[in-house]
Amino acid sequence: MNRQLLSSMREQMVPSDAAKAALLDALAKPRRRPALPRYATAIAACAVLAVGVLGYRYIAQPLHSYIKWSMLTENFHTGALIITENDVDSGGGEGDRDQVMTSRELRSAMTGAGFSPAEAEDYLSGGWQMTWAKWWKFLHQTKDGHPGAAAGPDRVSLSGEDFAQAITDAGFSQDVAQTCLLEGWRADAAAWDSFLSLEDTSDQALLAFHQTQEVLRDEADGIPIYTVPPTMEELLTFSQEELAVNTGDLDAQADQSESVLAYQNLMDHFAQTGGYPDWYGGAYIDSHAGLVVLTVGDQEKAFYQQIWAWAGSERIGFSDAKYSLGTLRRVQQQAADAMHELGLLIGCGVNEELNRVELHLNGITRGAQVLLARLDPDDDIIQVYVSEDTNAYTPAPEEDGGVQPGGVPETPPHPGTAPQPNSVPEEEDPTPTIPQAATYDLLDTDDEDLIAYEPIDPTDPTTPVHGPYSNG
Amino acid sequence: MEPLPLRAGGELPDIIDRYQNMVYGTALAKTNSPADADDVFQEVFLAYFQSRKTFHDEEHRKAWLLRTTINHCRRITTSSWRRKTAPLEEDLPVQFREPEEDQVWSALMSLEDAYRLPLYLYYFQELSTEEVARALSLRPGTARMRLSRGREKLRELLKGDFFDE
Repeated sequence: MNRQLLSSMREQMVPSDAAKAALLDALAKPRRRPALPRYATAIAACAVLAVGVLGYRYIAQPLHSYIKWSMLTENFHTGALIITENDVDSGGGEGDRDQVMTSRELRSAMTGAGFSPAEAEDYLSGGWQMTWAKWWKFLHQTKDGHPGAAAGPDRVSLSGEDFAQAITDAGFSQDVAQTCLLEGWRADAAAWDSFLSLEDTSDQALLAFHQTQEVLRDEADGIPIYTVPPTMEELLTFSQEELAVNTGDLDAQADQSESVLAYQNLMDHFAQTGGYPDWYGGAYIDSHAGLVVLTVGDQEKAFYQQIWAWAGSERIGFSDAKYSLGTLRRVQQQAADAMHELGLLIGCGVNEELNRVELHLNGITRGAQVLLARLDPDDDIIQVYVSEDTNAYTPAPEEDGGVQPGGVPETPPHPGTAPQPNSVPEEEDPTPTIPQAATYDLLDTDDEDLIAYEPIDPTDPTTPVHGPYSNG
Repeated sequence: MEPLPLRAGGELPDIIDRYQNMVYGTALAKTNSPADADDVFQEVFLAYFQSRKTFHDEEHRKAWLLRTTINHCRRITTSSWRRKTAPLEEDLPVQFREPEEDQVWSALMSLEDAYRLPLYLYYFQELSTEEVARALSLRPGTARMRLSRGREKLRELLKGDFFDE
């Protein structure tokens, strides 16, 4: 837009003299200190609240989620080398969404698109590597592909105060409900019912649901029109055509020697500098035999160039990760130890590509779920697979000692056997910490009622993929 | 630009001078009411000076002020008092010096809330899309989408005038 015009308008947007004078007057007055009884009341209220919350937490411990896995033997040893299609596809105009969807996001997005929770679970158990870009592409594709896709008047939509009330009733925060009201969210009532059955009241899940609903809605005339929900067959066909699954197979044509060498160089550098740095989230080789390095936190361009220099190759792509490899290894160790003590452990490995620990158990108890929930408060660092076949365990294949990016092989439950990294560096940081991006505490206002949102999510999964494989 | 103390409370007139446009303008874009924007302006700076916060840097202070402004605007625009009462006198409309400026502002204000504030922050406050997303608690992709759609709507309303590109 015309900069001169905007600049002129901006200069005119000043508060009135009366407002300024009133503000200066108010600032000149001394602040009133609350009377002692008010302090005492506040402290007493806090104490009651704390006792209530702690008591509740003690009685109702949060439980960790898990997936039942009936084909364990077929999919067990996929952790060491996981390949996925990593082409950046801006499908649906959401170019920054080429992040692998977490299971929670995919589950919410699928219910948002009209799939049932059971269908979502079935699909998740298939191991498809769905990304946000591919998901939007699928939605647009099925939307365009359905003849007479616009739904009839029999499809009920939720909007306005009704939707905000439904959000509140479902246990989501008031802030989200208010956002729904202000931003005019709408949703298909049937999809909403389906989403509610997930019983996931995290903002992340609701956002994934809402985003999917937004794509499905035709806003051309401002009236919500929903497409006929896509079918499972369509999704599976799309997945077979567009997505890769954790098969461990590489593109036969691709030459990965350069990537393996680059990875080796990077590991050598880490070995020389005392271990994995906090920014390093892992690495894997994609289907084009390119090395992808996961980094934690926002980084400058020079930083990525430095990694290229360390690896001796510029054929490296970058992707964002929430957890550092050090953190994953620590959680892997703790989870494996805890489950071993309970006699539930089949294996435990780090999936570097998906930036999580994968834990295979031969059963699940409430105590185990509570322990895992403590290790994984956000329910996204440990993926638990519970075998329905308790004899499904087979020993991990022998490693040839070569360096191979992608993950740590799963650990069998031999007493005293701790998960070992399969590559350099030797020295692990004994006290790795979950990295925190520089966040600004925007919530610290005097008036807590004003807080509408969490300020910055340092682990926002929508950050784009950088590097030579991105098209952005 | 002269660096200011990062602890809230000092250099009072300088802080107001530097950020009054941003705070008032954002409030105006959100409420489209000079009276409400004046109220928000006062409340935000009162909250600022009473918070006694120490900021990491100037960007942190700016982000805090912007966020607090938006929160105060939400409180005003969604308060039950406001929804259930009608003002005795009509609020004066926002008026600029030039007619084309009024035209641009009217077009902006006619947009839905979801598009209006991102556009204002992007064009008038010259925030990047990342900063817009952060200020409005949106995913960057959503912010980009709203900017893109909002820009198209604005272009239609203004019939392509005032657009450089």
